[in-house]
Amino acid sequence: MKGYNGRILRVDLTAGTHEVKTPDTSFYRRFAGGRNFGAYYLLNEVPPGVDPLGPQNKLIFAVSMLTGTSLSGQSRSSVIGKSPLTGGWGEAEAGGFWPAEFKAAGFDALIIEGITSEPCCLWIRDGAVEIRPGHEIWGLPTKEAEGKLKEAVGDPKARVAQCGIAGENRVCYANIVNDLSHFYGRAGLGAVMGSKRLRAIVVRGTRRPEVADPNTVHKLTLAYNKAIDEHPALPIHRRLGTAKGVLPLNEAGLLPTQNFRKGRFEGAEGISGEQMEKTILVRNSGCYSCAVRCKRVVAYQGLEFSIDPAYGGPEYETLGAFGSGCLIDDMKVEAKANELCNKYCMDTISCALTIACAMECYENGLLTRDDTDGLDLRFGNAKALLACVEKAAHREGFGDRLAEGSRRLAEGIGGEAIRFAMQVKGQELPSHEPRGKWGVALGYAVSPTGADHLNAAHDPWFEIDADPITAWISLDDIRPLGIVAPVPALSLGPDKVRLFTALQDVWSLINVIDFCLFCMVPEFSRYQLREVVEAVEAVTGWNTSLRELLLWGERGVNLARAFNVREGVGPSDDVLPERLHEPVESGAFEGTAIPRKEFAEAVALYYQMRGWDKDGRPTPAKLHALDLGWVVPLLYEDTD
Amino acid sequence: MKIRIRLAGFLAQSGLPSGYKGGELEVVDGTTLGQLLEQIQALDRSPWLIVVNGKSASADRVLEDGDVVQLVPRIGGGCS
Repeated sequence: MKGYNGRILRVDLTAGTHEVKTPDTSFYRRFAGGRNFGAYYLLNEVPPGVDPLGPQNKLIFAVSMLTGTSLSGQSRSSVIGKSPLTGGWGEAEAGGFWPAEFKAAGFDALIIEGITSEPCCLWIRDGAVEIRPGHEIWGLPTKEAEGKLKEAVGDPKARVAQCGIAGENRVCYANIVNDLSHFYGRAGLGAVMGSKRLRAIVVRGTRRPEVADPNTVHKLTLAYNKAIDEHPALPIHRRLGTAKGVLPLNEAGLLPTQNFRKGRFEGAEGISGEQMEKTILVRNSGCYSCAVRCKRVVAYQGLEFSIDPAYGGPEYETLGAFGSGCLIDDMKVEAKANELCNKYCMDTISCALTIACAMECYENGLLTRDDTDGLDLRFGNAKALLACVEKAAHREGFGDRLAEGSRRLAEGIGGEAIRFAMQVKGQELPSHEPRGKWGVALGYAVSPTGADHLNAAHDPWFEIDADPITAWISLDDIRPLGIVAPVPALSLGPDKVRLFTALQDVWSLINVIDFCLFCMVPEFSRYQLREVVEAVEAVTGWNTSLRELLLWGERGVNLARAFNVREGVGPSDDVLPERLHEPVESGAFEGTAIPRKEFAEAVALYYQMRGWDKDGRPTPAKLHALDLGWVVPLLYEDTD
Repeated sequence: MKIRIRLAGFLAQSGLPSGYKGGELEVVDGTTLGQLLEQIQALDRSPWLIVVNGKSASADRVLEDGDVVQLVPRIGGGCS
């Protein structure tokens, strides 16, 4: 088998043992990588209803056939587990150098099970596995911990993935980081890692699996890098990173402001990529063997605080959530909040939106200074915001309530507080105003992880038949999916549901093959779907097709759904926060609300298009059609 | 009548592919948004969102003296 190691590592932390399994080719061909490897083991091995922070939950790191090759966009990996934030499917992806290094260390996936009584870390080097004590790094910020770990293994080229202090403290939106600045951001999987007292996974590998056709992989690498370099979006993406989106989204009325009350932020200039470039940007950086280089590194030395460049720099989502979301227009404050979240390992979206929820409760008299440890928690109070980030990471005082996420915070406050919790299934909304792009609203509602902006490409791209030469993304790029005509952004009819469903399969595929959305359609139009097929063929030697790749994507959607169904997640959870059915107060879409009835009908139609029943449960026929017959008895008690 | 055309975000620096960078334009009464876009070579197959006076607008809208037309880059998830 080419492109894979053919080895899955299982580490039992309770027993202090590990074993290696070698699944057959059909396993690899059926599940392919990342999201699907995780789904297979999670569904098969984690019983329904377990405590996400207990010994029965598992944490699965996985890569794909493409990981570690020379292709731009391939150095990513998935982490899967039951989420402590939502109680359902938990999944997160990150880039960096760790994924390629992990694969070169000899494995395609790592299953972590059990729990240790003492802090520990894992050291994996070229197939050798060691569980080591972790006392020395427990309680340290990630930078100090990484330094000590590299020193301890005696190899500066080792790569470290770790949960931070927030994970140790079981903050429900704690995340996992590799190389200090590449985050498995959402779903709170850092808390799962922390609950197992596994602080870090250190990897070093020198043996990359063989690829089937090295000459073709080399040729494709050069051709794709040239295409990326020539892409019209690339110069601005490199120069400003994802923060390039702040000003356009603001002018388009799509920058969520003041906890999603408004769609336009008067202080947007202050949190823009252009402002970052003028003030605190040191350089850009990137991931292993990638030509894009979109990551930021920022630094600042001031009287009130400084910002350490070791922790990278803020992405668009962070600027939106802490900036317009909390009405703070000072780039240095956003960057400091980002640095604190990175240092302690917390998801910036969930952290910021939980604070925004608290701010709105405070301004409406549902919280007082007595509740907030004396903080004047009004929107726009930068000092109070930074104090809240610190408190949440350490679960100190009011931070203990913030660490639970906005849904549980609001439920604890009671009354109308839940109206201010901008979340779906317990996970907070990203910084994309869905009242101006209703397909994104559909994605927020039906995403298996709770609100997620990376569930499918956003609809404004496809409401016109843009000229493929000048457009970054055009309808022409997704015509191979059978989408042949534009669909308006503000629509929820059958055309929109079909578009969303088709795009969701592609975005699921991206997480199955652990590829970067900044390198392929539909986000970057010069790396076409057929070229991804070519790459998979060249790496594996398989006679494959776009159909087979989309089946991998569709399997991913169905496996994640199956996990949620088993956990009791159903139609009552596939809904939006009330606020999104009310008119947005400002911006280009001022006065627009998502129509309730049409939205419910769109969700019901989505179930039908997916081959799910009215409760959103994949039917036995759909599961068999996807060669997932083994899932049927997990969802239907009366079948065997 | 006079119409002001502004390019939003990074388009302000890079301009449109045609080289157009925005500014004030004299147009005849009754000009629609679609006709204006044609005039500045930002045709209806161009990938920009169009905002008039801060509000989303369609190509058949008839412009009025003093209108501010903004061309905004389309941005998706992950902010590509």
